[in-house]
Amino acid sequence: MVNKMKNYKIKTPQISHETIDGEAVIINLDNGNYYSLDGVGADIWNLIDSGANTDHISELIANNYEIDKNESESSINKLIVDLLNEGLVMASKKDESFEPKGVQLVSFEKNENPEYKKPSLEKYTDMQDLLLLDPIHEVDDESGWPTPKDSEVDT
Amino acid sequence: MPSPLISVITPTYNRSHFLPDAIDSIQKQNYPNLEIIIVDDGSTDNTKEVVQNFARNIKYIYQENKGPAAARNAGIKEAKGKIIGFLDSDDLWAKDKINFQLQKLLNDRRLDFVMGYCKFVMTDNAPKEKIKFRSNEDSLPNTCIGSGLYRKRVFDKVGLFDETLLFAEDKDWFFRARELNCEISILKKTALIYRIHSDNMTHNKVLEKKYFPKAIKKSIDRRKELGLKGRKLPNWSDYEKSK
Repeated sequence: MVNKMKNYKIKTPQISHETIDGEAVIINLDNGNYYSLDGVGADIWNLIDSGANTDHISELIANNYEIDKNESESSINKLIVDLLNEGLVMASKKDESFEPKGVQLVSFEKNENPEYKKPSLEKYTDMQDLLLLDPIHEVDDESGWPTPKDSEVDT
Repeated sequence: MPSPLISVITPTYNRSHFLPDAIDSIQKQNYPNLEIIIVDDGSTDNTKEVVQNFARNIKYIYQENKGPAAARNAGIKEAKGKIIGFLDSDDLWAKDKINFQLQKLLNDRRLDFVMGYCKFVMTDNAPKEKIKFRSNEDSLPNTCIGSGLYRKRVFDKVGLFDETLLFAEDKDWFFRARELNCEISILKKTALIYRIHSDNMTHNKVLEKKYFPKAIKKSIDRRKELGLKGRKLPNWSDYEKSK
């Protein structure tokens, strides 16, 4: 059940994600599934990541895409149900530090007239067996081959 | 069994302490028609001297540091064999790897490449307490490039390794091979011994976070371009069942 004014957060560290060219690529390292979200979906994902609650997200999406707030709310709730079912996000406490003005939406980044398309979570399962076979490692200091320069590692 | 020329490409960077064991594991295959190509990706240690100590039958190429994909590609361009194998300088080929994989390739001309299992072993300095395995199996199928044997023609079909990816270039290449319906067979036998040590585990974590999503994004984009959006690629294990 998705509640209004509720906060969700991305389930790190088992969920690894990066938004590249307006598309959020999400990897569930626990079961090997990976996902993609573009357009509005990528915006919602990044807003969740920034700590916005569903009410904030709904308002920002409605304003940005010039759609009715009820429609925005229902799309967001539906996507959040999918994200919860896939184990990508979890309910969290309200983050008081969130400032909606500080969040850059994908559609703004691309400098386009954003066209509203209902968010849809694309799911891929073809890496399951491979990801599950990689050893897990938790080391993050030192460096080794092919030692990249710091600038190459930072995005 | 005929013995076609096999080119073995070993990219290396500052791993002179591991390199002799790697070369030794290639030579111990006792295969009569090998071309060993060491691509030194800008090492600052004594890699060159170590290679020279092995003397005969080893081709040494030096290039400025460009990363593992570029080093492998330099080796592929140099390779004269119609069959290619790879071995990273800190890993080892399992005994008999060439023999059982070559037999499979020669018996089925349709196959583009054959993969084997990969056995992960800890070296003395491996950060054992920080590594865990999801499986209790000793040897596992994996996309370690070194666990395969490839027809050179597959690199014309799939292309070379993507030099913009400093990590996950192997997963990217195998994505492309699967998208293009390459003929792949996985044999349930250990082909590669992957040595876990402090260096390869440390950089992997940082690079994986950045480059693995990029490799996935590239594959999703290609599938969209080909009109295959949402198309399911075969799972890796399917190649073990089908052939």
